[in-house]
Amino acid sequence: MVGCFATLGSIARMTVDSTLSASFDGPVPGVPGALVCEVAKLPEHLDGAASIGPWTEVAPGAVLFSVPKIARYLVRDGATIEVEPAPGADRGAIALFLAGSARGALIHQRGELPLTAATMIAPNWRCVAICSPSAVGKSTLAAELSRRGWLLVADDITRVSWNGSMAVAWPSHNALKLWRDACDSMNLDCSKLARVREGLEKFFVPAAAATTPASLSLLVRLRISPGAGVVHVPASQNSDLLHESTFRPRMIDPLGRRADNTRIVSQISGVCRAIVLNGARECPIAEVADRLAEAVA
Amino acid sequence: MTGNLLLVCSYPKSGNTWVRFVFEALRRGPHRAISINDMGTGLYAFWRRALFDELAPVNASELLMDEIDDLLPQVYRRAAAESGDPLIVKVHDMAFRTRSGEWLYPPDSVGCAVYLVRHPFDVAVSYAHHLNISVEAAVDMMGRSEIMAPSGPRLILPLHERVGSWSGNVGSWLDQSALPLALARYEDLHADPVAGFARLAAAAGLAAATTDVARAVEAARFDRLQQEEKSSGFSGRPRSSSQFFRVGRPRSWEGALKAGLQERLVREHGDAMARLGYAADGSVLPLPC
Repeated sequence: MVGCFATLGSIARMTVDSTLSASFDGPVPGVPGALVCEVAKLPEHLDGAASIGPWTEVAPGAVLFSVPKIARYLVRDGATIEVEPAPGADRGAIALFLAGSARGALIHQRGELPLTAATMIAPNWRCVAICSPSAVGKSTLAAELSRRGWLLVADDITRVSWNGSMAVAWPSHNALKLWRDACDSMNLDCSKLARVREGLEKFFVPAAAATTPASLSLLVRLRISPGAGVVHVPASQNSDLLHESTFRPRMIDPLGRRADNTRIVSQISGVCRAIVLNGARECPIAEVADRLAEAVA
Repeated sequence: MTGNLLLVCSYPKSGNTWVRFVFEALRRGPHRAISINDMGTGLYAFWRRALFDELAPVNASELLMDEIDDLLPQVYRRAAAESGDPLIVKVHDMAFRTRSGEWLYPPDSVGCAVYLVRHPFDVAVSYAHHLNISVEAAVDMMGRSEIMAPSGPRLILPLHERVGSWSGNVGSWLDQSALPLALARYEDLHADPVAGFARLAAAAGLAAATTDVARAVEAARFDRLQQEEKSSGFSGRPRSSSQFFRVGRPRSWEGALKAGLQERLVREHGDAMARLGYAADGSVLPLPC
């Protein structure tokens, strides 16, 4: 081990100041106690691991994945992420993947739920997880809600745990990632925003953020459709939404976390309401946000 | 046949959806209904993005286009290996090798690439309608080496495609020899669909009797698809277009493509047109040997 490289807490701060060469010691936002360390060399393979994709091996308690020409990552026991950067790799990209895939694997290892969602707290303090496949517009909707005074809890991957009576969403981000066209449509000046990484037309948009965990109460399935509106989902279908929105579900079985996953999905399903929010990408984002605000009121 | 990927490749607006509909009807057989909103995903658009995000180490949204291209061959290879059945894949990309020298669609995983072409006069008019742009702007696009990207204002395309120009797209597929290719002209399929699709089905490894092909062709009759879109909508219609299934026949350019634009298409794509028997007056000649 060469020394501490960065923690995910520092990555969250980095999203705003983009000082990629700085050291970022400190606790991992939303995953207290977890640590990121830079290492000179990671093992080539994990003993007894299953391959869940061309670049990812999973064994009980360990996930090893590589991003060609960027870095290799070893996530262990829900507590550590070791990273072996490729020579000359873009440090912004290394940090980005730490906060994304590596952090998602870490949450799985803890038997919790890494939800592919942008999570926000409404002005009435209700906590809402906006779920959808990639590219539907979670972050754009979150940015619109942020302008209306909602607080950001997490973008991309939300850590959700169970405390015995509540589904707890953990704050981990203080910026949203928006493509240039989304920034333009919201009259945000990209020249004043930090790029997510060199060469990508995607920018960090600072957002007022929650600083303490919140009790998740509403699951929103954001859907592309011509008309903006809300459809209530029967409680019996809440778990389907959670399964569909789980980060890299292929990891669960080889990690040996199936029972934990089933349990936490059931627990969250039992305390949250769910809706389908129509209109993404086809309707003005303000109109979609209006419908969500009405549903939360 | 070396792999499970059955590529249905074409420049946009050349009949790709029609061919995939017939293939899917053949694959399902006579006892399973098919509709335009339930005809398989073609691993296209959101489904391609979802497949990538499921198998790649990180999400596509945080990668550069070249990086995505570098990973895609392995993603396709894995998808083909995990699928017990042929995967019908909709392709508008050119045939090309990634930075690492690998074909985007790895030959060891591709059973057949059907390449579908249509007279560029018709493509121009159809493309203009599809994107809700002028015919002149569509001709512009056909002459550019186009990359359709997620941030494009008109199409919801979560993963980029290197479409190239019309003649660039044609040439890239016809000139490669790594992938087994079955060429089909839209106009020939339209003139004799049962014979045309029987030939393609055989090339694609979709074992089918002539009666099966006739049934699939009947299910894919244009007026049926058009009627279904009218009554139920079509999930593949971009928001820029009011109607996906619009005319569905050759020579739809007549009255819609000005002489100057015809001349320009011939000037910019004449060599590729000649290879395919597409004449400068818009007629379709026998396919040169």
